[in-house]
Amino acid sequence: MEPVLTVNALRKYYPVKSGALSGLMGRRRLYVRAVDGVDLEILQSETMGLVGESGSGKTTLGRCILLLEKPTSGQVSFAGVDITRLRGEDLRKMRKSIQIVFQNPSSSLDSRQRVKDILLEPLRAMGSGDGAAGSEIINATITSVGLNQDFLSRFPHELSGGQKQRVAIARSLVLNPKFLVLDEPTSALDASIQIQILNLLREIQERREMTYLFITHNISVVRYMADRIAVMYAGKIVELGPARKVLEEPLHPYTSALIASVPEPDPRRKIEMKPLRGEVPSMVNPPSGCRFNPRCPLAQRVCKEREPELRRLADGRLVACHLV
Amino acid sequence: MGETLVDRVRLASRNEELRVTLRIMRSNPMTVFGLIISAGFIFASLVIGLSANRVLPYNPYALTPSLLHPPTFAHPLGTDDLGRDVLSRVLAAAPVDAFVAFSVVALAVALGMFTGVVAGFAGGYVEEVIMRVTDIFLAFPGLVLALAISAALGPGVIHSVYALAPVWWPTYTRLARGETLSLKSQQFIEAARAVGQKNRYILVKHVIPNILPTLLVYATIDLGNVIIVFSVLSFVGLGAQPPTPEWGLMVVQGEQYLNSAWWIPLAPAVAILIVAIGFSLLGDGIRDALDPRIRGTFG
Amino acid sequence: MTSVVGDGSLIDVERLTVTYTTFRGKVKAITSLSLSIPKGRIIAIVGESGCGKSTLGLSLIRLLPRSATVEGKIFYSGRNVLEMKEEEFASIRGTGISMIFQEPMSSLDPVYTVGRQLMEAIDVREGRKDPAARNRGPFRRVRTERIGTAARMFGAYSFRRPAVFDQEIVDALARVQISDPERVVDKYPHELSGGMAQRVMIAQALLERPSILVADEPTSALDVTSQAQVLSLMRELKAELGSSIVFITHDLAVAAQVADEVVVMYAGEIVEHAETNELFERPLHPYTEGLLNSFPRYYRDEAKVQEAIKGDVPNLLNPPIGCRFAPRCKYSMPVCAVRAPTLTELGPSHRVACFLRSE
Repeated sequence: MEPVLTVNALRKYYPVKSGALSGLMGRRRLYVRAVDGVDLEILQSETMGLVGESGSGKTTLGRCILLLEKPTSGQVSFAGVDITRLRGEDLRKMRKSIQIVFQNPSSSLDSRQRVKDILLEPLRAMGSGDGAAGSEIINATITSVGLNQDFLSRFPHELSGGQKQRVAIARSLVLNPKFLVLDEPTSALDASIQIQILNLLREIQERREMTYLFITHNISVVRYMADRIAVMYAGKIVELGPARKVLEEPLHPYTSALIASVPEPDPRRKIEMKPLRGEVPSMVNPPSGCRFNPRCPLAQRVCKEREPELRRLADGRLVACHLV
Repeated sequence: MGETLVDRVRLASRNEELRVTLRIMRSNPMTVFGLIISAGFIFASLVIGLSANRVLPYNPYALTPSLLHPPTFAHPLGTDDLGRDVLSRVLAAAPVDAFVAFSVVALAVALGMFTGVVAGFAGGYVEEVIMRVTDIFLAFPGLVLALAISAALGPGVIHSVYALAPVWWPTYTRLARGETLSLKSQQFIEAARAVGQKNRYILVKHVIPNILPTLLVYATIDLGNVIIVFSVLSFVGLGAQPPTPEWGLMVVQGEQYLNSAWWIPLAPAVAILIVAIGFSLLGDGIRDALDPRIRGTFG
Repeated sequence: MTSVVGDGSLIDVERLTVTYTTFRGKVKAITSLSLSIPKGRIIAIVGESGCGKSTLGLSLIRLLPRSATVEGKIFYSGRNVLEMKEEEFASIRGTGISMIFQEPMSSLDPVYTVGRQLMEAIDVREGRKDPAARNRGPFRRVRTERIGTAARMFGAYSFRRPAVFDQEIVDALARVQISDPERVVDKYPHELSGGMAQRVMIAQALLERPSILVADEPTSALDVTSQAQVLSLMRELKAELGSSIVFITHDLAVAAQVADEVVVMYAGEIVEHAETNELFERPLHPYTEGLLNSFPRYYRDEAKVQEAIKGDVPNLLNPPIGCRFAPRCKYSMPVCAVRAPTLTELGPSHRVACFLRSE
């Protein structure tokens, strides 16, 4: 099956701001290497789970795919078209196909706009919008996310967290995109609402035959949502494979540690592992060799010397580790 | 994770912000006092100005033979050295000062907001250039700048407006830029970009409506300040010209009578005082009402 | 663990009611809540947003906002804490009842080093009002301060830069699994990661040795690997400190990891309270059951849709009469809409407020 979205050697570096003077004094420009060489293929109608902790670069990767940020190097192809080359009008038109749902529904909705206008905004941006056709679309979309049309005249502050997120989801669907980036869409919601939204997202995906990139730090959520899972650490993908395989038979030591840290609501299964020592590495000055090596319980000498490449194994899984 | 109840209690939404703000203002007698004065001033200015002085007891320009009369029932504030009714002149000056105050502030806010928003949103070179120019203007003491420009342009009310606006716009530029910067990190701005909105549209529909309230609060406080500085301009002969009634001008012209016909300079001086205090109290009240710490105690 | 004021309990909350006065009206954050916190146990308070758990935590340490009205009693060491004057209670805060918050970064003053802030904790514990008193007393010096020679010549010993730290502080940092504690002592808060900062807060609590530690969502802002570390730390510390820990969280899984007892709150009331194993094996309240079912547990390829509790958290301005969970409860009966169920004991160490289970 042809992948619907391909990411090639994507890098996103942010310059560390230093005063003008230190530049003059010949200090080397420092960069935060948020995403440092990522290759990814996402297949049609699948949900690719992108998992990582804070500082892993997963949110930056999501934003680069959407071209909310311009990648420093590398490219993103959607349906065969290199979208990193797009500019101006073409870039805006591309937005009809790839949309995003943000984490915090309170700040992703303009509190000064009514729901109706929030939903009409994408249509207006594309030139259509006001008129019967536009109203029809937003009426249909708002009902498809489980809210009735009364909600159209309300302001965000009149809605609960779950309702606001439904509006955010509706907004992302108005242009009928085929690809949706979901950046921690339920992390800011209560547990009982979370499962409602996850079920809604699954249902929408099946009905509209959409492809999802589901970014999250929550392993249980990604288990419920994803077909395949990619694990990120310090700006690179360290493991990728079918969800069940990655979670039940993790290959990379980081993945193992991550999964072992996840608490289950079962008091008999306490987390017994020794906690990972050390902290998430500096993104300005990553460790040499494998970025995980300072914390890895299995680190060997080669791990400090050479950075492992993301290799494809016989069963199709990808992993970046010398010891596998 | 959802907000705790404590957080939600402390947070307020847009509509509620307004209600809470009004409530806090209502509870402070000083603010109410300021509000009454400011509202009275604006209302009086509108009425007097729009009626072309017809509602005044006497024609402020009319010369009569009863010179330098002390306050009587017929002339509650007396007459000046040309026989003109002082009360009518004081009242007639209100629209003049109101006009200048609002024009200057409106110009300053408009200019400041435009430059500040562009600076904040665009960033990079553009921001640097705009902010450095702003700094240059801010380097001058306001009064000095106003006097200098006014002297170059010449006397007159309109010229005064042009002279005063540059004194105030840099403050609004700074303010607008700061607000824009903090707004840029709000996700709904990003969301608008994500659905393909053009930057221009985002600025107009999203950024400006969200920063306008803050700017307007400062503008209110500034109204009083502009009147004072304008009065100074008139005082030194650069603002309004005789025979236009204007408080600063009236104080200057009446100065020689301070010991004899004290009502001539005193009445306009007190008028300036009252209006400036009124706006100042109102502005203070609004600013306090928006202060998150005080808002906390109101729930 | 019963609601009887007994010998084993450190704190007894009796019919606590907390109301916030907002411009929209009075919000009943907690209604007539009664709870005993036993000695030396970790008791988790679990609930979603708006249930009142944070308010309960703040009530215990008396840090509620001014808009809050409090009724009821909280007994600590036999005295009603709510009736004490502020100065009197202030002496209990810290060494008697201490609290750590969700955002460790906001709990640390950005202009002081870690060591300095921990030093203050020791000051509080030792009752030192004056920093100069640190120089007296039987504390081992770890390092000398780098006072400029000139300053020293003039006897300016109060002019300190990286200060002298007690070995105790370094030990406390090591205890919370901070590697390289001597270096961390000189670091500023912004140089720490979230996980480290939270562990510094725990170290601070350690130094004060409180009888009760209230932890309000201490791991919610942390990565899952840091969270695992903090949770295992808490289990160890309970044993070592002998403190009771009131662990407030929205995450049932986290509660399962650390708690000896779990209290489930909904809309300002306790709906279920049991020993941890008991609660997870036999959840009796429909809300607890629903909450457990909300935890995503299946793989996508199993194509199982988990049942969600329908509806939204109730409005506490106007709570429903009768059982507050009834509008969302799939088992609700006519009586549930009319009368409010009371918390009754349904077996040893298991209290539930539900008509389905008790009549």
